[in-house]
Order: sequence, then C-alpha cells, then structure tokens
Amino acid sequence: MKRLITLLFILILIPGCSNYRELNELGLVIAMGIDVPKYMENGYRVTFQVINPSQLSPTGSPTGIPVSNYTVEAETLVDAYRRASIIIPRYNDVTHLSLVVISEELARNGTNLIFDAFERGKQAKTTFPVFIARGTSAENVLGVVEPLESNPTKSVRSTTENNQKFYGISKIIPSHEVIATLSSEGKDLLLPGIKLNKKLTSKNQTDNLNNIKPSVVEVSGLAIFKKDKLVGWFDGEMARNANFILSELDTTSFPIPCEKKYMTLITKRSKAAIKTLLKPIPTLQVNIALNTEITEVNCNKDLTDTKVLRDIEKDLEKEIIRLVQGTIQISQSRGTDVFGFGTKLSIENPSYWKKHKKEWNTIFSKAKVDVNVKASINDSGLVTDPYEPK
Amino acid sequence: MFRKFFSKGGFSLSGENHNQIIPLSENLEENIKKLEMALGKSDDLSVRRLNVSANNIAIIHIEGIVDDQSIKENVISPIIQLYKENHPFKSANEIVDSMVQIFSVTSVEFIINWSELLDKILAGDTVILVNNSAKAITLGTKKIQSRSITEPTTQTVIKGPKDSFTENIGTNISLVRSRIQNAKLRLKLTKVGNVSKTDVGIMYIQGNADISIVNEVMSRLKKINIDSILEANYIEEALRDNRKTLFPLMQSSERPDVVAANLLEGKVAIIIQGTPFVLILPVLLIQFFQSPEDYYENNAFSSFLRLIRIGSFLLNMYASAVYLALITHHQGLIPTTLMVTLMAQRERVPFPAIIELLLMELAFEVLREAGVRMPRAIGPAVSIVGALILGQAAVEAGFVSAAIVIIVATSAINSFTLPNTNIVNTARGLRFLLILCSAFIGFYGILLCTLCLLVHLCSLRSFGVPYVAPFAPFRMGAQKDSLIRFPITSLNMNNADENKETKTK
Repeated sequence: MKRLITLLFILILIPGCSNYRELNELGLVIAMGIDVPKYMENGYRVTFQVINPSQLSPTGSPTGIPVSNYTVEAETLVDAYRRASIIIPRYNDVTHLSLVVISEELARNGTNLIFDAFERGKQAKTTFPVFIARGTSAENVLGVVEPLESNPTKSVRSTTENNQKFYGISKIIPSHEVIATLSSEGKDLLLPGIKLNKKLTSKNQTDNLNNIKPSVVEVSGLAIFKKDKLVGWFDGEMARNANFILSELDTTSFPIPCEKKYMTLITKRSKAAIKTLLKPIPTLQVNIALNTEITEVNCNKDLTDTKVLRDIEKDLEKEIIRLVQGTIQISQSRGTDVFGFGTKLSIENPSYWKKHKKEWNTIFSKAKVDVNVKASINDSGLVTDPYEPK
Repeated sequence: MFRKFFSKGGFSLSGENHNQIIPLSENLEENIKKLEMALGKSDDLSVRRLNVSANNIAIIHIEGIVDDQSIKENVISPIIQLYKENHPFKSANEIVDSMVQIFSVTSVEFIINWSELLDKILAGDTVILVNNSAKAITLGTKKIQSRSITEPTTQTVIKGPKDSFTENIGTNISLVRSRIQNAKLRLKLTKVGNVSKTDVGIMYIQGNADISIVNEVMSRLKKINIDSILEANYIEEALRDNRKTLFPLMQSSERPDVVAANLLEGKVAIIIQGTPFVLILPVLLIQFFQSPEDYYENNAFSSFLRLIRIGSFLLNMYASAVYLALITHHQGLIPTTLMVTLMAQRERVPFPAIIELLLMELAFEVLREAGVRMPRAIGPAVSIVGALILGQAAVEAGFVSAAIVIIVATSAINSFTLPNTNIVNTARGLRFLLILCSAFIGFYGILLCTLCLLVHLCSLRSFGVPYVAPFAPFRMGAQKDSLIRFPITSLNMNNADENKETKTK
C-alpha cells in the first residue's frame, strides 16, 4: 500500500516534466519562408505557414483556405519563431515543418549559418527540403493556393517529387544534406528553385482557386551556390543534365533529331561516374552508361534494323556529350564545383588535394572536360515501324 | 454476498463439531425426532415407517435429491418382501445385517455416526434406521436434477468437439474419463465449504502430473475455510499463489477436450459440483492465447491465428494508451497528413483528449456490462443505442472525435479474439492503468508501466511454475507449441517432465 501511494505521488509529480499538449491547441507550422527584412537593417523576414485544420476536415466541404501565413521580422530565426506568438493564436509547433523556402535575394547575399537553428533545435526534424524562391520572395511563393493541391506546402513538395520522377529538373534536398554539402570540401551546393509562373491577379486568394488557369508554383532550375552564396542558375534542361551527372535521375526524355523531325528516347537506368585526372592536364571525366527505350518516332526509320539502332545510339551519345559538356562548362564559368569533382579527387589523391585545395576552384574552372557515354537501346516499344499515312 | 450473510448472520450453520463422534441412539423414534430437529422440521424430509418381524424401521430421505423410482423398486419393495416372508430374526442388528443383502442399489454402507448420517441424508442418500439398533444403512440413491450436455457457450469452436461440462460433477468426470481411458487417470474427491459441503474432485494422470503439485492442491483445498463453494472462482481465489495480481493464475474451461488435453500435459484439473467450469493448474500465460481449435486445424494456419490473438491482446491493452501518447505528447511522431486529419477532427471537441478517451472507454465498459446483464429480448436495442447514440451521434455532435471511437472500438473488438475470458479482464484493467500513465508522461509512462508489468509477470508463479515460461526461463524445446504450433507429430505431446523442470523454489 505504501508503495502504491509512493507511485501515485510520483505519477502526480511527473506531469511537470511532461509535454502534454492538446491537438486543438497546436498551430502546426508546416512551412517557413525566409526573406531579407523589409523594415529592419539586419535579420530576417520569416513567414510561418500554419495549418488551419478545420478547413481540412474529412467531413464537410472546406469553405476557406487551409493554411494561414504569419510574417514577422527578427534578428534571428528562433527569435522570429518566438516573436511569432504575438500573431499566431496557438502554440506554434515546428515538429512537422516540411518545407523551407529561402528567397533568391537572401541567398545571393549569403545564407551564412542560417541552418544552425534547425540543426541545433530539439523540435524540428532536419528532413525538410530546402528551396530557393526564384526572382520573388519566399512570402509570395508560400502565399499562393492552388486548386488542385490546396495546401501550398504539399503543392511545392509534390510538384518537385513528381518532376524528380518524371523529368529530373528539380529534386528534394533535405536540410541535413544541405548542411553536409555546405560543410564539405570539394563540392558546392545545388538547391532547387521554385517560382510563381505568373503574378497573382487578385488580392483575394480564393479567386485563384476559381481560376481555370491559376497561377501556380513552378519548379524552376537549380540554384548554383559558391560556398553559401547563390551565384547562378542551371535552367531547365541544364538542371536536368546536372542531375544526370550526379546520377540522381530516375528517368528523363531526350528528343533526338531524325530527318528534320524528332524521336524521343526515355532513359531507364543511367549511371554516371565522375573522375578527376591530373595528367597530362587536369581533366574532369564523366563516364555515363545508360539504357534507353524508344517511345516516340516522328520519322521513317526501320527500327528492326540493328544498324539503324546503332546509329540512333551514336546520335544519342553525341547529344548527351554535348549537353553534359555544356552543363559542366556553366559550372566552370561560375568557378564552383557543384558536381563534387574535388571531393572525388580528395579521396583518390589526398596529398595532391591537401596541397591544392585552396586553388581548386581555379584548377576546376580551367580543367578539360571529357565525357564518355555508352548508350544502349533496350526497347523500341510495342510497334516496329511507325504507321504511314496514305 | 452469500458468504457475508452466512458468516455475519448471527448464527452459524457450521457450528457442529465434526470431529467428535456422536453415536446413534438405539431408539428409532428418538433418532427420527433428533433428525427432524436437526433439519428444523423441514417439510421435504420424508420418513416412511415400515415393520419387519415386529421391528419398526424407518426409511428416511430428502425429497427432490433422490431417485424416487429407485427407492420404490430397490428399497421399499425388498423390505415389503422381507416383511411378507416373516423371517424370524433374533435381534434388530441381525435385521440390519441381513437387509444389506436385499437392496439392489449400487452403494450400501453402515454408519454409526450421527453427523455422518446427517451428511449422507443431505447428499441425497436414503437412510434406513431400525428400532433397537444403533447402526444405520445408507443407500446411494442420489439423483440431482441437471441439464443435459449442451454446446459450450463461452469457448466456442468451429471445428472440434461440441460438448461441454454441466453443473453435475458426475457427468463432468464421465466426460473427461471417456476421453482418457487409462488406468493412470486418477480422481480424488473431497468436500469443500463448511456449509455447502460441495463435492470437489481433483483429476490428474499419474506419471504425467507432478505429484507434489497434486499434494499441494490437496492440502490447499483442505485449508480452505469458507462457508460455501458456488462457483469455480471461489476455489480459484482461495487457492492462488499471489493474491495481488490481475493475471489469472488458473485456467477455467467448460470444454472437456481442453481439460483432457491439459491432463495429458501433466496439469491438474479441479472439478466442482454446481458449475460447468473446471479449473486447470498450473497455468502459463501463453495458454490463454491457445485455443483448442489450434490443434484441430492445420498447424500453419493455427499458428497464424495464435499470433493474431497475441497481437490482439497487445492492441487491446495498448491501442488507447499509444494513441493518447501520440496525440498529446509526441505529435512529431505522427505522419503530417494523418496529423492534419486528427487535428481537424479534434477542432470542435470540448474535452481534453484524456477525458474524451476515458469517457468512451467507460461507455464501452458500460455497454458491455449492459449486454451481459440485460434480458435477451432487448439485446438488439442496446446494440443500436450503443452503436448509434454513443458512436455516431457523439461524433456528429462534436462530443468526441471520430478517431477516439475508432480506437476504442478497435481495442474492444480485439478483446473478443481471445479464447479465454480471464485474460481479457486482465487486459481491460491494465488498459486503464496504461491510459493513465500515458496521459501523464506519454510513451515514457507506457514504457515504465510495461517494464513494471514485465517484472511483475516474471515474478508470478502458478503452483510453483514460472508464469511466463517457456520465455522466461527460456526453453527451446517448448517453443514448438508456444507462439506458433508445430505439426502435432513433431510436438512431444507428453510434457510431463516440463512442469518438474520449471518448478522453482
């Protein structure tokens, strides 16, 4: 009995250490936008996107917007988070933070140690992806609701994931990877960009929901960083190629010219290996092996002929070599090694790396680019010859 | 309630001293008068006076618990025959001695002890008293009304024997005997209960059962000092090793096949007059998850079902507590999409989650109790009230969130998979404990509670056998029939030695 009383006593005392919080007292922060401040000299302008659960109820149709954005300015991120309590009516909980958008302006000025708060803090996970708001502010990007995916955070994420699987321009880069890349030698950061494809026509957010051609968030290229500063962009195809070189591509499509028209090849499994050669002159070597499938032919070719297929493979290889070289040259022109040739070199030749890591970016910029591609066509689809209109 | 009534009622029915032998009187009328006094002139005491060679004799029994037909044909007719023969007897004792030969009932005994006479009459025997003789004859004419053997109601199976025990100990013993026709099947009968004098039988198989357990059971039964035994639980509570536990330390079954199987495994069965539930001991925790059907179906499938049952038991205990911990303490662990759904549901709910959960859990317990207690005719009404009013309407009115209803219903439905109701009640009790721990400190509380529970389980013994064997202590051989069941041919069905092995001091 005495033991029971002691136990009960302990049970009554421990709730002080507990973290009891009712669900309807929580303001779930699902996205954060970080901009340069408008009114302050230093610090950040931070937008917190908080879920409005009653709009996402499984029963009953939603009548409003499922999220609310709250913007505050403060010297530091955590300060902003604490200060946000002046406008957010609920306990703002960041455990479910699933998107961070940084404005291009802020990124060009340098992100400094902006990610420290996320890494140090006990609450937020470091698995949320980081995006750059291209040519606009993070506040604007988070401020658009789309009809198809009414939750903006989910919209950004799922668009990116979809594109990553389907074409390969964009990709989800979780914040822990960002921190790892920023603090590693011989590799610079690439971050996916997002922008609004057109300006919001009305101040009223719900108008966008009723628009047949709504303004939507568009994934747009990869931001090239030099250390913590944004220095340029890989656009469209180039961004895709960058992912190709990094072997982070599921599938993508390559249109190949054929008799003034085009045919489309889909890559199925591609593998790219990078290598840094020092002799006779520093050379950046990329070896790519890929399997492809012909999915569209707009010209007359006899696909049953292996010789024809060989020729198509050759054409594809040439095309890829051209694209990859172009992409690496952009990186070289910015003097930032986003593909990790330096990291590779530091593993293969540590002594050389130790001596020359300071001037690596100059060596990288001047290095020769050597691309080898081995493409093979595995499949030409369900029909052999294209149909002939008669 | 009955117990209290008897022990505090101001008079004691068990006041007579049984150890002291009071001999019968030689005077017939005096004996009858004394008997009538002892039974308070009870109206169902039947005394038939007859005359054999000028000696008065009396045939005494209590109506209703004897076989009238048998008394008429096998007792009264021979006496009348004897009267007609007009045999010259020298003394009353000679009549008594010769009468033993003429009754065609199966058991005939002499008694000279007064209290024994009373016991026999109350047990349904017929007693013959002869004037001028201090010896009485008792005749086994007991016939207690009992219902016929029906299908079991609490432990049903799809495939397997469909008979179950009845309230009659004789029938029950015969049901077990018919399954194990072996000379080594032993039965020891005793009477327990100072007032009720209930017949209690102990069955075991000589050689399979640990004889020290049998002796221990016998001695504990002898030590029971309560007025009555009306159900198996009276014995269970009086016999168990640890009184401060929620876990059942004995198994009760109304299935003869279960009892037979357990006897063959070296267990001891206690059969009690007046209840169709037979106690089996010692018992292991894992036994409560084993259904007799496990052995009547393909072993792969019954292993799967056994795992399902264990999972159900855990879900039944933990589902509510884990849900509560997640939504009140560890919101970060819920996937975001689910989290948003849960938040949306809880938006309008006025109560804290813990109150909401306890409300629903208690509502379910009330419904369940109502379901057991109410007359069968209004059963559907309660189901409708329970399902519609408490479930749907409460959610629609915003009193509780739909998720809570799902969780409570899940844990409820899981409790019905277990073949043995004893363990279900344990889980019901522990569920509330876990909910409280979870409400205070979340998963940490659940973990602490689980740890205490494991320590407690490991400390439990059922008649000296560790309760959580064969896991702690771990025995490889016994794993063949614990979590999963191996094919019957590969099981060593004679587990007689195991009990001995696992017995610790």
